[in-house]
Amino acid sequence: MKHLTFRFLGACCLIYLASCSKSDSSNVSKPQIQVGQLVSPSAPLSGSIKGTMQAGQTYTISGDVTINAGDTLFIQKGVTVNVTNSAAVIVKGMLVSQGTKDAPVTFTDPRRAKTTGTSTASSDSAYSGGWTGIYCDKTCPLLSLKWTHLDFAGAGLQNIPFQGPSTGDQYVIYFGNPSGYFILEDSWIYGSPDDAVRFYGGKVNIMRNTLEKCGGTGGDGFNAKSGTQGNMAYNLIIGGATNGTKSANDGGITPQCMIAMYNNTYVNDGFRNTGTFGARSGSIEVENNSRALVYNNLIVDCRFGVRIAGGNNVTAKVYLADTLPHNDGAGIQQTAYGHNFFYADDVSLANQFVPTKVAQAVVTTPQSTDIPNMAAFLGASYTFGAQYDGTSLVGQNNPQFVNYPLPNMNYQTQASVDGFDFHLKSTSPAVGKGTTSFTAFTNIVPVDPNFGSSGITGPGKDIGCYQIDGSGNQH
Amino acid sequence: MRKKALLPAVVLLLSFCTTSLLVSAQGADIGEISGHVYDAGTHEQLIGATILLQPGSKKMMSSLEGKFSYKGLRSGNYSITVTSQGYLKMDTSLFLPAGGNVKFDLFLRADAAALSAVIVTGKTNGETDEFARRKEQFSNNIVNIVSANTIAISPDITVANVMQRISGVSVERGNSGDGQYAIIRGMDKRYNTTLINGVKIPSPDNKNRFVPLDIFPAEMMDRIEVIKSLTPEMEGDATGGVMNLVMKNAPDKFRLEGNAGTGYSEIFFNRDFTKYSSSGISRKSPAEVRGPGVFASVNDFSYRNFMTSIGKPPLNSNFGLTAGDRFLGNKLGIIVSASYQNVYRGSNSNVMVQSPTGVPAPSADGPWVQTFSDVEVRQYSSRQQRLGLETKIDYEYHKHHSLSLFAAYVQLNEYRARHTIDTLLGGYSLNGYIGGFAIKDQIQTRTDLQNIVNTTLQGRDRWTEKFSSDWSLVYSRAKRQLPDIAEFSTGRSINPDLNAGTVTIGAPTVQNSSREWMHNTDQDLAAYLNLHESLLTIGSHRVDLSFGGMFRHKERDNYDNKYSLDPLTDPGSNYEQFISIPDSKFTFIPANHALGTASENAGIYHFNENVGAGYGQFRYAFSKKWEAAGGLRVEHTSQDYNSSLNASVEGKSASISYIDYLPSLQAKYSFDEKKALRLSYFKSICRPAYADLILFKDNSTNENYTITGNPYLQHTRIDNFDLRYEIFPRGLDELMIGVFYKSIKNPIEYALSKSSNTEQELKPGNFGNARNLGAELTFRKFFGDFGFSGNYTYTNSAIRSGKIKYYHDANNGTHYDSVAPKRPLQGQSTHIGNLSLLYKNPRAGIDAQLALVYTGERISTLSLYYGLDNWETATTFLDFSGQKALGRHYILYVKVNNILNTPYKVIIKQPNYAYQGDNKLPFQQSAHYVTAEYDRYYANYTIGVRFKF
Repeated sequence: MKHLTFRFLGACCLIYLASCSKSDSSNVSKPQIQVGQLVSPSAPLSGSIKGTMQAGQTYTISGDVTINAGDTLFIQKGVTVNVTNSAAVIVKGMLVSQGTKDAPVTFTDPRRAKTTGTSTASSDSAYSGGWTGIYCDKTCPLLSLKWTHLDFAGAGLQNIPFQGPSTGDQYVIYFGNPSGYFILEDSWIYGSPDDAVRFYGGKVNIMRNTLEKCGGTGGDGFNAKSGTQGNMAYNLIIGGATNGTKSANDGGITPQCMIAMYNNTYVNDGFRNTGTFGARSGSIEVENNSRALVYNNLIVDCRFGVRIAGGNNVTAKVYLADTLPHNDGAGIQQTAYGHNFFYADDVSLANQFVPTKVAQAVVTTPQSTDIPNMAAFLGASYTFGAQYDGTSLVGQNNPQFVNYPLPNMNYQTQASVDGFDFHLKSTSPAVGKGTTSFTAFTNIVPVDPNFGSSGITGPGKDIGCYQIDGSGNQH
Repeated sequence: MRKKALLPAVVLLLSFCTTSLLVSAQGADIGEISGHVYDAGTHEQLIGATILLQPGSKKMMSSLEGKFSYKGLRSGNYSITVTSQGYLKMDTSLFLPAGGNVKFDLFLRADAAALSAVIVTGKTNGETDEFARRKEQFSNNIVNIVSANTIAISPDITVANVMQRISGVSVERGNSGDGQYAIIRGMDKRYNTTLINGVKIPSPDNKNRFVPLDIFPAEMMDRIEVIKSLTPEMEGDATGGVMNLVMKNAPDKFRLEGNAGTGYSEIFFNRDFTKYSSSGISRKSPAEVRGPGVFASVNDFSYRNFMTSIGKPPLNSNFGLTAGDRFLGNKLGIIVSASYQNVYRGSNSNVMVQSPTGVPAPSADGPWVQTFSDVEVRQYSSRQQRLGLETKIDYEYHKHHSLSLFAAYVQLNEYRARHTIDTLLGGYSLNGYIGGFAIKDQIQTRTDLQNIVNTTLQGRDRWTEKFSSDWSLVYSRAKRQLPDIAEFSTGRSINPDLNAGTVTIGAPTVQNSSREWMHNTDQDLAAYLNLHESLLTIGSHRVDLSFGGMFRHKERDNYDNKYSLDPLTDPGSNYEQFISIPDSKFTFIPANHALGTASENAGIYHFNENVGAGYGQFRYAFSKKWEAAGGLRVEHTSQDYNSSLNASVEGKSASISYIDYLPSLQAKYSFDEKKALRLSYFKSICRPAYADLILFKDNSTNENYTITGNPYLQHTRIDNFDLRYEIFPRGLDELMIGVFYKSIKNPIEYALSKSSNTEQELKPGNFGNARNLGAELTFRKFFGDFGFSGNYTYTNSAIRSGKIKYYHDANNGTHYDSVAPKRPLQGQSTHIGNLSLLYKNPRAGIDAQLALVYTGERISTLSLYYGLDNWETATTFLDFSGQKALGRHYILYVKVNNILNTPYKVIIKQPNYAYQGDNKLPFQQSAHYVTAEYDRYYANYTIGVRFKF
């Protein structure tokens, strides 16, 4: 009996664990929902738009389209939207793109084709902006993009759609509603001349996405300004011009900018910010009175490690992150970081695992939980921003990607996933080194199969966006 | 005998100070006539007035003190005729008793309607008396006049530089160090208007209504008037003052005069001048050439704009020629005037670029911190070509009817090369100084072509003894073109080794390049009509009435198109190594940046403005002691604009209209001949400039920040009160004391504000109500051949406007408190003073003037944050001019400007963390304030010859 009981309990545990791990493969079809009238795919679209784009159809947007305030455009799975004439998608109402793993939605410029290998700002059309992008006004209550490809966007904005953006702005997504919800999950952004996503406020869940080739000669992956709170987690960001994820409370809009950045994988970021010779680029930047949680990130061959901006009362393009302890009930009580994993193939990169103050004052404290243990490496006498010799760190702690051989000296120009696979081998030193003892934003957006998040993934125990148990980034 | 009828008026002007009998040592029969000549409006002494004594045809010029004297005269009747350029001729006669010594002072009236929009046709047309009466009618206004003579002997070659010598006037300088705009009595340039011959002219400026005064060569002026109180017949949009530039009039008889001069700027002893060729510059942007929606090719952007060469500039040149005569029995007068200046100027500028990001103060009490992102060291090399052509034809076709046609063309072309070394500041220090992480070397060339055309047809008619009228029809056009403002930069990384204390500098790479085309045209059509009636006479009192109106239709077109080009990276690299400018290759990222910004640009707009006004005014002389004038003006303004913005953007277009009732009352009380009190009240307005209303992000106007507009701006309404007390204690000594008070509703000021895209921009706003309180003092004292004169203005303005106090509290809470601290109006100095030391030796034919202008500290730019306003520090400019007569027809002159090499300095009044310690910044001067800009212009020398036949 004891054995039976033991076996029964063991089986229960296994079932329980299996159900927890979300790696079940059951694939029951969800009901397709339809909002308003169907949008006809027969004629190119421009002007105001609402209703539903029907599953599997191919649409053409040939001029700027506007979803008016109060209207909704619902895109069912498997839709392809070819955007021509550098058109823009203006969202004053609600936009929901409901792709699925098996039938993603694709927005693209049909003139452009993806390329692999070496990528530079003027040689690769990924940076030349095919269609304009998605611009969301203050009246947009929800932008939800799931399992959606946003390829070749970021053409210079030609028709200013509302007060805020300027002619020539070149983002893939501009989100301008501090009280709106912005959900970007399991999606892909391929190519942009500037920031892939610029947030001027919003309650956001930016989770399990893949960003490739974002920023031509500058530009961040996810660039959050004041009024923005939420998660940026489980994203794979490769070949970004400047930073992968950034928080900055610029603009003074309430609430204060607070972002939980965790379990992201940053590869080859920060080498195309040529105006400043990469001085302010890298992987993660927390600046200008914003608060952030920065844990469990895997940072490989990036120009800089985790930069917590400091201040010296004299110089700054950007300024001091909010590193003070608070007791104000906000989602993040104090900026904190640790359990981040760094790998570099060149000493100039290893010298910036803990960023130096050459370009700007920094207050990044070396963490003993980091891999390598930068607190131990730099010693107790280390002061913020001091230069150190990282020669001995070069090539150390290979994270053991499933298919991305390291060392790789093409880190400045390999800006896309191509055929590589950034999942961790089970033998990776990043496995199991993450912490799950912090709390991200768990209620920042509603969870809903159609009009909300499909699930806020909490901290993962493996560093990086791919978890050995199959959770995390699903790409 | 009309002149006789006017005698009572003349008596007011011609005051016999002393008539005393003295016994001459040389004999009982020999006497003397002496006196002084003054400007009747300002009581300023007139130098060089011609005094003709008959019989005997004795001629002499008034001295430095305005003095003349004829000795050794036998007793008898004498007539004296006084003429002076820019003034009405005056005749008087007197009897010199045997052995007598007659002393008296003469007050000449300026030769034009100082306050009306009327040009008087000549001085010998028989209507002089009526004109004199008109002048008298408005004599209780507060006016300052600078005469042609004063301009000629002053150190100034542009009108703007003349302006700063007028009481209560300070100037704002452009980056060549020359004055450009006048601030009058603490009122920013927007509160002042510029007239040519009494008619308002449009501005070639792309942002503003006010006219850049450096466009006008000073020698074309007959006279400059600054009118500080408005009467109902004047347009109501001048609060600080009206600057009326009165151009030369046809002389009584043939006159030919001119000058030829040359000069040099001291700055080019120290460094070279950078020049470029403007010949290949396309006047139109690719979008205008290729049509809208067509991508430009990178080959449309010539690299030749960037091909500069350096060397010593040639000498400056300065020519002027004026010829005038009267024909048909003096009925037709014609004057033609031309002037040309070609001047090479330069300045060296050091700027700390202010970061938009605020720094939280440690407590609610500060201290407040401004941080800096870059140090920019700039050298400006500017060639300025000024051309002025003017003609005036007046024709008196009937005794009581005359016509005049005035046409003027003034042009200022500036070819400016700006070389910038921009160091991007890092967070480390080396040898105690903040170090950089990148350094950029940028050349910008800018061709700036401005011109103004003005054509005015005026008529004056006298219908009856009591009724007269005048009218004007005006066409004006002001145009500015900035074709291809082009910037090319290379950048290098700076890599410090902090442990070794060394830096290595990377190889130069090609950086982003920008090209921008702007042009704008203002076109005015205006008509003015004034009716004057001498209504009734009550005893010796007379009431004069005037009625009139005006209408002006203005259209402005503005165009802007900007391209940003990215370097074409070398194969397999993220950078393009710099080889040479012609070898540098560019591309557009994203590709549709090849469209420029023209497709949708708030800077492309059409603006209409119609202003219609009517007024009625009276003048009543109660007694010899009391005079009053006043009335009401009603102005209706209707404006509309349409920009090329998307219709879904707020502020794409607007139509605005409003009506203003502008009462005015002026009074003068004369205690006696030496003391008078003037009182005035008037209401005025200030209309926002066209660009103030339009959401156009413009980078061309301010060197450091983007400027944008605000469609919700309200126009400003101002109540103005003035009180002035004048004493002429004895001789030439003079003291004038005035106080003024202005209550300003919705003043318009530019403040730094955050644009939505995290940059700071300058934006106009109404920041509540302000008051402006001040006092003016003008004084003069003479000792023999030496004299000094001066003026001083104290202004105290106050406004409360919103700022952010950004700080942490004791519990680490972050606060963005909105506060409204009191501060002076932008651009207003509490203290403004002028002091001139004069020397005149008529025997040697020498005139000399050393002129000092002091302008106290003032706010140059408002910060979004509390405590971080930018202040321009007090300046003292010293200029010298001297001239020597060579025979009867020639005068040799020398002018030296900016002898002290006075810097332009902008500071932030907060503790300076960059002055000492490890984080020093360059050119810091104090631990108590931060120096944000420090510019030098160096001295300018001019030498030349004037001639007159």
